[in-house]
Amino acid sequence: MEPLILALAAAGLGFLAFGMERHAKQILGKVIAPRLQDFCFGIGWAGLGLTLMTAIRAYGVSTGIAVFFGVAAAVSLAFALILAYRPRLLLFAVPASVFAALFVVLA
Amino acid sequence: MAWLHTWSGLLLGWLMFLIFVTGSLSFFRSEINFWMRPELHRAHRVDGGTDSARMIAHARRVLGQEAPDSPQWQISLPGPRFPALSVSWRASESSAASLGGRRGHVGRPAMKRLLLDPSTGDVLKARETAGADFLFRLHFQLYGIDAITGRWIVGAGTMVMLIALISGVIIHRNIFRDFFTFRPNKGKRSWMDAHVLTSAVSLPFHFVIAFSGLLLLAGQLMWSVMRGLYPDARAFVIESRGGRARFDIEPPSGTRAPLTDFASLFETARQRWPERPPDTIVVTNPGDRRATVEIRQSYGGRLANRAAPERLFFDGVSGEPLETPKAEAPSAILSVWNALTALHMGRFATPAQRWLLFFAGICGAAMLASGLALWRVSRLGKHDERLSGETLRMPFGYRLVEIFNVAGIAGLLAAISVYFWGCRLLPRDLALRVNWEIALFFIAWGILLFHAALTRHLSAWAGQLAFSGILFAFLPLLNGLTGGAPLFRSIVAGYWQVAGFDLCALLAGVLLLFAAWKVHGRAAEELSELERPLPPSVVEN
Repeated sequence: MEPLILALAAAGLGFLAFGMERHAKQILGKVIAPRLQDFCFGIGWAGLGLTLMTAIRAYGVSTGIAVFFGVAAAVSLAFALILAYRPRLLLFAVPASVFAALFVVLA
Repeated sequence: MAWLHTWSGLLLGWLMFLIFVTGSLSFFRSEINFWMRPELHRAHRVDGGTDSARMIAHARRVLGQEAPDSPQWQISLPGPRFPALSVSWRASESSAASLGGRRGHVGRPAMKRLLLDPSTGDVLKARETAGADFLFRLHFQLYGIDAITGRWIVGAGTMVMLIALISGVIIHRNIFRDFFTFRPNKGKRSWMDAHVLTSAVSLPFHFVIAFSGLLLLAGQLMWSVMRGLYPDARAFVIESRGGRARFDIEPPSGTRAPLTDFASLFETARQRWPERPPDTIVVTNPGDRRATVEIRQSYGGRLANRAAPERLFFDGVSGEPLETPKAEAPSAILSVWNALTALHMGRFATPAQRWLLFFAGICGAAMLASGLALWRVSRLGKHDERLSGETLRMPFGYRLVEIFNVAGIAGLLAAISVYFWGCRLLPRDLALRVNWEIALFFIAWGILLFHAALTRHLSAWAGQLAFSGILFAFLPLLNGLTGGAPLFRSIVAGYWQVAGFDLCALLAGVLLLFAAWKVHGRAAEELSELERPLPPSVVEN
């Protein structure tokens, strides 16, 4: 269960980063259209919601919530460091985590 | 609001940094305790599942020799956190009385404990050490002062921290707009980013850990309420540690009867809970007609009942299952209390979850350290030691903050590394060895405080970071040289209880040395700046 939670959190937070002005500029060199921003935010929050649900299903309500926040914290800090030093890496990390999540679910 | 955040943070930042660092280490209390007793590293490692019958037989033999008359035995099998087999027993009532009546915390005779090699059953004689328990106690009741006073200070610090957290969220209300922002090498801005980032990513943890910490100290902090509701303080302790049903133990009958083979009972329990296998066996009234055997997990996975373990009871003579008492479902209030306190203590946590807790705790320490550094950096340039005018000379309080910053952050980390070295290097049979270890920690810390006061600020930072970095980085080597399992061998053998500590120490050492190197460069820059003459406009003022 842990790989799936990690992959979902990375995908969700990654989409949120694309939706934020400064981070989109860091990754793509330009700001994306407002409608695309909204779309990224939607997908991002949906991803985080799925992460929370998966964690609760795996560990129960109380532990699941704690695990969700812990994983989100670790991924967020990792993304902040990636954005500071190798921002374009996120261009690959986000689709990779989407595929990883799909792989875990389907396999 | 910014004023409130700045000054509450400054006043208690150093105390809270100490609490966060030692508290985070306490998530790995078992593992650190194990590392600090290298004699135990030589114990053969076994697979807890397949070898349980043999280990139980060893434990039973030792208990039968050491404590045939004890009213209660406890066997704890080696687990992922502590690889030695542990047997403990309650001294029989008569011998407890003859020992001067020393009693455990619930009024029953204290437990005695022996550690065994799980494969051979030999008793392992480990050195005396204060272990991680010293760091653990330090984080909630400090040291050298009365424990109750210590808890008051920690409680007051935690309350102020909650204020600082709330005011911090208000003054940095933009934290969620560009959430992942960190801009390195930009002076004050980088410190601000680091401070906001480490606070924001684990903000829920910071709130919960501070609040649940206060709950754990509630008995002290709100003692008048507690006294009002619980005239007998023990009743409060029992209820607040609830979640476990009472199993009424009958007094021994006085008739001897052979004890059943509980290795097979253990196997039954193991098949029943594949997710969280049992690891503890409690035998009450061994050798008596009314013996009972309890088999339980170390912790369960649900927080609402304080991660209470699943338990099974058996008749100790016939081996017939007895009815397991049903725990009362906790009330809503008790569930909240249970969930928060169990979370604070990581009672439920599997290894991966424990790492998450540790990581969040380190984020908190980084938030405090960067906040304290920010206080100094924000005031940088307002005071220049090349000027002698009354208004512009560095005020004493400002210098005091610099000194405490170095000693409270880098100095503390160095003192902790010295503590680990002391555990390994002090002679094994030294009288009052435990006290010496602790004394070494405080002596080192005191010397570093002097060093910070006598050295130019950035040089003091670089020096103490490098000192602690070297000590941490060489801990794996020290471990191998003083009887522990050497790092290369423990990695090859997959002995992660030991290798994990060594690898973390190595990583901490490398990071601290890197920080020292960065600060050293900055210190050199600052010195060359000082050698330049002042621009004329400033001199005229």
